[in-house]
Amino acid sequence: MSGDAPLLRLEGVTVRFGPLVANHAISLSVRQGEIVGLIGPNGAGKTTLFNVITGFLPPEAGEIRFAGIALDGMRPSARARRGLVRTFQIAKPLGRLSVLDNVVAAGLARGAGVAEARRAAREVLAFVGLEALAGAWARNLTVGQLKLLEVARALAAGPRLLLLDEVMAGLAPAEIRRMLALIQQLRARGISLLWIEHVMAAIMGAADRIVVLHHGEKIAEGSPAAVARDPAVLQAYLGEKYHLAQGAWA
Amino acid sequence: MTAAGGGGATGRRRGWRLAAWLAGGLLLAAVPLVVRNAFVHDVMILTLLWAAAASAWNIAGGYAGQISIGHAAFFGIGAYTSSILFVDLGVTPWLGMIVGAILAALFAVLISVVCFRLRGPFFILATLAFAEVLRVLALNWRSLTRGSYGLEVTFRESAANFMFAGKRPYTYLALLLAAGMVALVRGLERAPLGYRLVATREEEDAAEAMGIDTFRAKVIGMALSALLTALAGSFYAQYFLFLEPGQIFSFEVSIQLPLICVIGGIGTAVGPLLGALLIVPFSELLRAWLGGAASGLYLSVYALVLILVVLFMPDGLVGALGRRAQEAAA
Repeated sequence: MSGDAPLLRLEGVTVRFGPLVANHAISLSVRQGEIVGLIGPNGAGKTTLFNVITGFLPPEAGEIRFAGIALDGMRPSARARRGLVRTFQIAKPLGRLSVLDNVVAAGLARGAGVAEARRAAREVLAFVGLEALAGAWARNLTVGQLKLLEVARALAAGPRLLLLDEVMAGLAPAEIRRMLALIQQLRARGISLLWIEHVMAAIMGAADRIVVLHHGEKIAEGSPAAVARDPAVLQAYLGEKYHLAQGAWA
Repeated sequence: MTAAGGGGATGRRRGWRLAAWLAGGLLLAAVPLVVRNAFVHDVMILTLLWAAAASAWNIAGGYAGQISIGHAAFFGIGAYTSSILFVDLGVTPWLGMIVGAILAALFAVLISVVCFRLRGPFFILATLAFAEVLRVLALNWRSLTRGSYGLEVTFRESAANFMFAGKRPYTYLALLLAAGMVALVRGLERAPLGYRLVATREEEDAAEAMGIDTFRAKVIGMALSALLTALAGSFYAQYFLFLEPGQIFSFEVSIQLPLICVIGGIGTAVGPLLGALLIVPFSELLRAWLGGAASGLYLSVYALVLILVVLFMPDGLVGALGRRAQEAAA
């Protein structure tokens, strides 16, 4: 793959639920090492787009290429093993497993042996700050801890591109700062990010580029500062204008 | 994988646990040497046989989360395959049971591909339907199974024929079968496949998102479960030497396996053994005491035990005992 070819490329991706067009002809790309923010009002089609990219939903039209390979028809697990890994907006812990085993399972899926997966899992838990809870049942974690576990599990699966779906929703301010620091470290590790977020201060500060969805369509794309001034975006966020502006200048 | 909380077991605690298991195993192994009472042997053999079959069910139902109430299908395939091969073709049951196990695994793959599109109660009902289909097939395919007339396996005593004069060899083989099954499931728990099965059970989408092919995991889990259930079925045939479709492909067999697992602790390696130890001797004793006077009463006892377990020990005996141990350690 040449250095300029994007890691992830979407061309005209369309998803329909009956008469509702959830994603209309979306094209976007994420380059190696980039952090791309995906924002838009509730119901804009952000999570649907994640579901299509990761293979949980088939697109009606359009093409998705990852690392130069067309993904059509590939199972989510096959995509994950190629390094296209996601987190879920509503955390999906393996409830009756320990925190450690949640992460070990992800490492094993990548093809590691049990001993290697356990070693890697402890390292990842230390990285996200959950090592003290390694032996706890996943279902007993708080929302903030579950979000960290989602990230830990995704990291153990060996992502080249990590799709983060609102990892900051429901977190306390201190937890948000910690998650933000974590995301900055991911970039240092060479992991590219496509990141859905409603906490504007966080995403506007950390992303290289922002893509805005509204009613299933891409209405803007550009640097955080440019997007925050875009009239179409301000129109879409009518009523949420204050947050957006605050985020941009934070 | 270790159940959370048990993960930090110290070496000394692990040593005690191993010692307890060895003591228990030796005690069980000594019983057939000391006791000559045929009834006691009978109860032991049945207990261990059902423990083994329930362990096999547990792989699909407990670990992969694919609750089946049609495992009589696999049990019956094992029992009939080894018996027909022996009676009609003179093939030793030792080989026949392997053929039966492979056939059962193939049948499981077939069922899985069809049924895994169904979820929850629909999947459960479909498994029941497959067992029923086999029962009707076995009833009507008289040239192969002798139908409702029953298939009698001629007794020719010889270790090569898996037939013994006394009960003692059967007791030891049953012990071996059950112990092997528990050890195998314990090993599975710590192996990559075990993690794949449990992750699929706990949260299918999450498992898929982390790179686990959940469809494949479920098919493999079901096939392995069927394979081992068939082995127990062949053992049953060798012990009783008489097969009848209504008895083998029965709902009673299908429901017995999940019942034992739920009582002992579903999705745990020793759960099926504990469940069988509790319920099988009890129901056999009741059957013996009450005889024909109240032939269905042991079923009511099953129901009663199940209700009590669900009410007071929702995680089965293993869960309840584990909680005690944790409280004691705290």
